[in-house]
Amino acid sequence: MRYPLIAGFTALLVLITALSIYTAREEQRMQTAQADLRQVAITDASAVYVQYCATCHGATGEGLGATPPLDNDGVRGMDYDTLFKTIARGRYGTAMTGWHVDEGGLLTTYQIDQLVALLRYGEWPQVRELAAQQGMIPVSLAAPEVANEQIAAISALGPEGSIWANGLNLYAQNCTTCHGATGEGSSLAVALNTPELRSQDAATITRTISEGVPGTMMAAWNKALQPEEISALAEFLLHWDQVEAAGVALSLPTIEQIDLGDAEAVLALGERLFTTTCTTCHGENGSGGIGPAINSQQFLSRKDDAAIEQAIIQGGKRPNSSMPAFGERLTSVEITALVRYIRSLQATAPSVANPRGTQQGGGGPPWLRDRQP
Amino acid sequence: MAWFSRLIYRSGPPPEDRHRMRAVANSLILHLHPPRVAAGALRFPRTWGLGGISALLTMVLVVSGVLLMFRYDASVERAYSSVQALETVVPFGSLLRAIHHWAGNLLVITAVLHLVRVFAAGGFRAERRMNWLIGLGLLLLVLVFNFTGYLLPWDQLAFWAITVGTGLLTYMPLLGQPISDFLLGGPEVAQPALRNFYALHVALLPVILIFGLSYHFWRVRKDGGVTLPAESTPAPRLTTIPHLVHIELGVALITLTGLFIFAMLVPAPLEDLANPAHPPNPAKAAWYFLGVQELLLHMHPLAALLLTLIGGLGLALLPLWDRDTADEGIYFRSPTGRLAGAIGALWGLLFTPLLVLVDEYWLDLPTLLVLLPTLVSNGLLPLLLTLAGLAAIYAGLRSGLRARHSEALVGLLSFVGVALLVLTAVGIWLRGENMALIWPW
Ligand code: HEC
Ligand code: HEC
Ligand code: HEC
Ligand code: HEM
Repeated sequence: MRYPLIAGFTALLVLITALSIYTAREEQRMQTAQADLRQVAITDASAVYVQYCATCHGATGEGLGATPPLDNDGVRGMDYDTLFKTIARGRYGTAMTGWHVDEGGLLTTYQIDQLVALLRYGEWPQVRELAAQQGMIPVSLAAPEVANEQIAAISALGPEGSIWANGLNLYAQNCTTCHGATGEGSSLAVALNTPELRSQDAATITRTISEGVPGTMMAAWNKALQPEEISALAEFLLHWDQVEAAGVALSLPTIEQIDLGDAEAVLALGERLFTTTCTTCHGENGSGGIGPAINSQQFLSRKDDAAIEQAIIQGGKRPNSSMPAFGERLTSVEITALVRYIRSLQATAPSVANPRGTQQGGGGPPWLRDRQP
Repeated sequence: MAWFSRLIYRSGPPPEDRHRMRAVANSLILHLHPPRVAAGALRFPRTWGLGGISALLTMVLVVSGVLLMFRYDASVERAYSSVQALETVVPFGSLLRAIHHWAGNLLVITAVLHLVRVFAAGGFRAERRMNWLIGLGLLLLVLVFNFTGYLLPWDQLAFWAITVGTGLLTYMPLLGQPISDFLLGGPEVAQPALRNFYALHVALLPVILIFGLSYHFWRVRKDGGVTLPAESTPAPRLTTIPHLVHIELGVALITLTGLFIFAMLVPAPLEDLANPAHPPNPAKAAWYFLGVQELLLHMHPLAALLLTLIGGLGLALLPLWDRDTADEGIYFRSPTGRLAGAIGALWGLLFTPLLVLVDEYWLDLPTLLVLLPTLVSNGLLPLLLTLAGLAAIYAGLRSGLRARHSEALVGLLSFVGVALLVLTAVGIWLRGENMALIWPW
């Protein structure tokens, strides 16, 4: 009866060998597993970002209006705790509200962890790709197209024309988000298309662009652009008035106009806008989320069109509301379409127990909701 | 230290340390085993070591499970990340998970094979009746163990398998809904469900299992050990130490090695975080329930459940159904029994896939019999047809082979077993999107 014992101890020997090999590779395996997990987190977070954050921070983290950009080294350098707290609890007194479910938001700890991974190890091209697929790029990506005829028209202006054309192109790609399509400036940056700027000499402007203005959002561009490109930009800025006189102007991409008389088309536009921009907070089909259940008899019977339009243009009434002000971002046509679409829901809207959104308190437990027991 | 040795030795400690150690080890072994065992019981094909392997796996599960508990966190918010941490930052965490996972799955297989072995040897009759029932209870327990453990990683696989699994439960009339509500602690799989499943998996079930197993082992001894064929001369008996212990040690080491190496090569699966809004397609239950899930595709839930219930009841009542102890200990009763078993298995192998195909592509009873309510056309009718088919197989074996009752039962049960196996295989490999039949290659 020795045979089983011998077989057993042979197996034991094999086991010990296998375990030693496994042990030797464990550290390496864990490293790889962690890297893989990080990659998964970034991919997952991209979807969450596009769904919830892009409305304010821009489809590629570039920042919209007064909302800060996230695709920058400042944010990448923040530690985990700061970023987690910012996203989970929000910033008091700003439109950045708490996104954690415990704060009335929509995101779990796990999702916020993933967002932190995205912000720190970010892969914004991936986010942009995803946003593009969801039709969000034209709304938020403010890089105007420069047409070939425009290039030709500028080049025809004189011997330096092709340099100016190059400068205009670079400006369109890099500077319009802050300085505006026509150089009129924005809440983020000063106007550039001004006689005062043109009174400076080329060397000064070139220095400002390459070194930036410390302490402001004006970055040092010498890391991103070649010296020739920066001097082309400076030349363009100095001769913007001439370019304009030639009839060349940049315009931000606009959503195609539709005929307001065509009720069907208006409703379709409204529906498309609603599902791409509003359902993230107001729930699928407007069934409620952070924001109130728009698609409910309770909500629709209490709000007239004017109140809805007001809310869309000016954002949430409560201080610290996460309802963004869409007034600057959507055209009046789009806002009208949204209002009409929302009103059209009234015919089929269900009655719900509690139309209030989670950030409005959610209405409390069932036994505390009604005035009369 | 006299009081201490008195705790251990009945009559004074042996003079040498070596012998003292031996004495302790031996009395531990003899606590579980009789001092002598019949030589026949030691031949490996007598048991294939299946009960012992199941017991070993149970111990592996307890040890690895306790270790996992140190890092696992049973909250919806953290369960998945704690498992991710086990997989990526805890040294040997991934291996530990894999060992626990594969041991759990293997135990289902070895316990079922053990049942088959006991059935084949006719070890369920006379005084072993009780232990057969206890064994069935243990198998059920093993399944519930697996079912509750399945949810804990809180990934897509876990969430949807449990959602589907508890869904199957609710088809059970009267009891189904309350049991499902009790398990889930609410209408859907959420935090209360995770908490309940965790409590069952790490606290209640282990206690029941330990008691159940102890009783099972004790009963084996009480009932005169492993079933052996009657012999004319009194069988020689060998001492447990070293004869039985050496075999046990050898089998245990080989099993452990196999399990560990498998676990090193194939990590336990972990899918995306559970997402109640995105059901995977197809949404399947755990593999050992897929036979039943497959039945549901072919008949009304009530009928499928009734059939499962009849099967279970049949197994439980087997000791009453087959009391013929004449062929005890002879695998599959007799040459006729063996033939009946082979025929039953062959039929199962041929018939079940055929029925699945026919029902999938050609036969549609509810549209064929529009006048009848679906409960009849899709429930009662297929159920009765199935039962009639089973009866026909039994009758055919009785008259065709001139088989005795217990021999024909071998054929019948091997048909049922193989059919269940085929259904399970179809459910695992051949069901794709929307549970349509697919060819996996
Ligand atoms: C309603 C508009 C809005 C939405 C939606 C929004 N944010 Fe913000 N976010 C802001 C504003 C405004 C600030 C600036 C707060 C301040 O002034 O400190 C900000 C600040 C931040 C900051 C700090 C940036 C810094 O440089 O300090 C982070 C990080 C951030 N948001 C992440 C997110 C993430 C991730 C999401 C998606 C879950 C999100 N935000 C959604 C408006 C928004
Ligand atoms: C993130 C926003 C941002 C972007 C993008 C940006 N700028 Fe600026 N820029 C600023 C701000 C803010 C100032 C004002 C700095 C100050 O307060 O002095 C500024 C100032 C300037 C000035 C100096 C204006 C003056 O009156 O002295 C020039 C020139 C300029 N930017 C050129 C550019 C060019 C060219 C680009 C594209 C390559 C660019 N900027 C992109 C934010 C931006
Ligand atoms: C970032 C989340 C978010 C997005 C995106 C969002 N909302 Fe809101 N919305 C809210 C919240 C939160 C409230 C609750 C009002 C408050 O806080 O004052 C609200 C309130 C409203 C109200 C009612 C205001 C009132 O007077 O009570 C309307 C109407 C509304 N939203 C329409 C829209 C429409 C239309 C869109 C899409 C263009 C949209 N919302 C997108 C979060 C959001
Ligand atoms: C956790 C699962 C189980 C464990 C650990 C286990 C363990 C054991 C062990 C160690 C034996 C001794 C003989 C042998 O190894 O075959 C045994 C015998 C037995 N088991 Fe199990 N068992 C389990 C499940 C079952 C099941 C599912 C059944 C059947 C319904 C069953 C019925 C029996 C019977 C009747 C015997 C006596 C066998 C004979 O006399 O030949 N057990 N069991």
